[in-house]
Amino acid sequence: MTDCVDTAAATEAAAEHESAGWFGACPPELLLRILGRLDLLSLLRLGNTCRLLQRHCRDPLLYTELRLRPHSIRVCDASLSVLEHRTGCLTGLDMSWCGTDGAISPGSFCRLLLGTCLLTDLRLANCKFLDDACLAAIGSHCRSLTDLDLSGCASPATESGFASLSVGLTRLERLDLSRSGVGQAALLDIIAANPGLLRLRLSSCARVADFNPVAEALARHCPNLRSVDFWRSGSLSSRGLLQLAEGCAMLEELDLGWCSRVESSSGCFLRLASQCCNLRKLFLTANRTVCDTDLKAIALHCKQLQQLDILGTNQVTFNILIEVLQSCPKLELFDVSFCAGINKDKVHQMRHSFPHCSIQMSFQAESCMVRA
Amino acid sequence: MPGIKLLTVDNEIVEVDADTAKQSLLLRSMLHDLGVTEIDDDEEAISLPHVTAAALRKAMAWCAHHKDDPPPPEDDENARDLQPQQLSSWDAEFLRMDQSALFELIQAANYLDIRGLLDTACKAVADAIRGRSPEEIRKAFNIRCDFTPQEEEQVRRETEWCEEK
Repeated sequence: MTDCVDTAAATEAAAEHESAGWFGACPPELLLRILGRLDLLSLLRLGNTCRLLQRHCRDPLLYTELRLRPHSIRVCDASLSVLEHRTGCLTGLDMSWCGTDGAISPGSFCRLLLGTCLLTDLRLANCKFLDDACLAAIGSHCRSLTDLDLSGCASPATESGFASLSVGLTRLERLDLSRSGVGQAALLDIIAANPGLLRLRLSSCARVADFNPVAEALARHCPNLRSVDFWRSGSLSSRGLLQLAEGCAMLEELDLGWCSRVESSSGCFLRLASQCCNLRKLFLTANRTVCDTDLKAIALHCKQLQQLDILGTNQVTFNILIEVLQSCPKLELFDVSFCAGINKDKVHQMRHSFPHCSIQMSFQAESCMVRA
Repeated sequence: MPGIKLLTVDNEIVEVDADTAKQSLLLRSMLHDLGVTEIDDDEEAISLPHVTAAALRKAMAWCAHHKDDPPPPEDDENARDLQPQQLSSWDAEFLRMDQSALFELIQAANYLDIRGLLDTACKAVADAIRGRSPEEIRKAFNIRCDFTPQEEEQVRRETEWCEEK
């Protein structure tokens, strides 16, 4: 009986190889080598040609990286159900911008995540289907994640969904929550659970009521933080920045654009410059209070500086800008748009003397000056 | 340059240049183990049970042209190049052969362990698959659809979303 079954199976296998044409004669490792060179759509189409290739094209080894973003307009529930049994070796998944037309249901996304315990890099920017169940599934299934992008994911996910992330995710190094629906309590939990955070983006998180406890939590839990983006975090004040500067001395990039409650008079910029000497990029966009003393401290301490944006301050003089340019030899981008007292001629003069640095002055600013 | 004799699966003895042959890691270690340094009429030919004479001649021609190439980079699972990469014009011309000969060459390169040729030839096959419909792929590679009509309908439905909307 067993022999019969074996013989039948062998005959069937031989027939499969026969049908697969030139591929049928290849040993499995050679097939894997050829198939490993194919993009996703080619792999799926090849899998539709015959049984042998269908089986080989489903090998999870071929799906270590799934970049669905280029196919975002096509990806739907059917796509995810085709892929859900092939994710055993998946380490990177990019579904950014997928499902914007309602083609992806939360349930099919959750099923896709079931077998993805090796996933380290998950990108879901602007995925409108993400609800609390999806976020809970990320928290419970993807515990190896080091990179997570949830930018622009504001609804239908709620605070409780974001809170469930901190239950399972403890190895995050890069996290993007810009324009997301994360609230203050969930954000504090996530920060506390992930002391290895290196890069964090929080710009325009409308549901975070107060960013000062957030800055304080970063200072307390994440001593290795290299980059943080607070762009348009209006509630962040000088107190928060002072704490951040104390706790996160390794900072290389800091965006404080439009954080208008961070005020120079508190001495917070001086503290930042002296504590965080590794700063490479500093954005003080539209902070009206930045003054010569602050820039002097930056010139003195931040020799690694590559980008500095002081757009819109009224307090700085031409001489101090020259001092910054002289003291920071690596400075390659300096935005002085809308700085009162810095006119077109002075910008030309700086461009002439420091040709290695791109001195930015927006068009509007120049025309303003001409009118003045 | 000393030559060596190789006996192919289709029972032909092919004489090849030893230096060229050494780009095959299999032949290199065989020559090393056998201590073969020069051609000797009495020397028995080395038997290659998986390689046809045509594929062997082709593989050696490729090796002769690429003898000064730097060694190919190590296999890296994380660096799979999914983008279609241009073959050099020499390689493209060299690999202009029917798919059955190309597959014979791939198997020879695999058995003889000539990484550069294997990569190049696999790339050529992948290029021939890319952008084609399942039916076009079947035609190009001599594949017979062995799905039942129901199965075929199912796989078609599963991947409908891949096709242009």
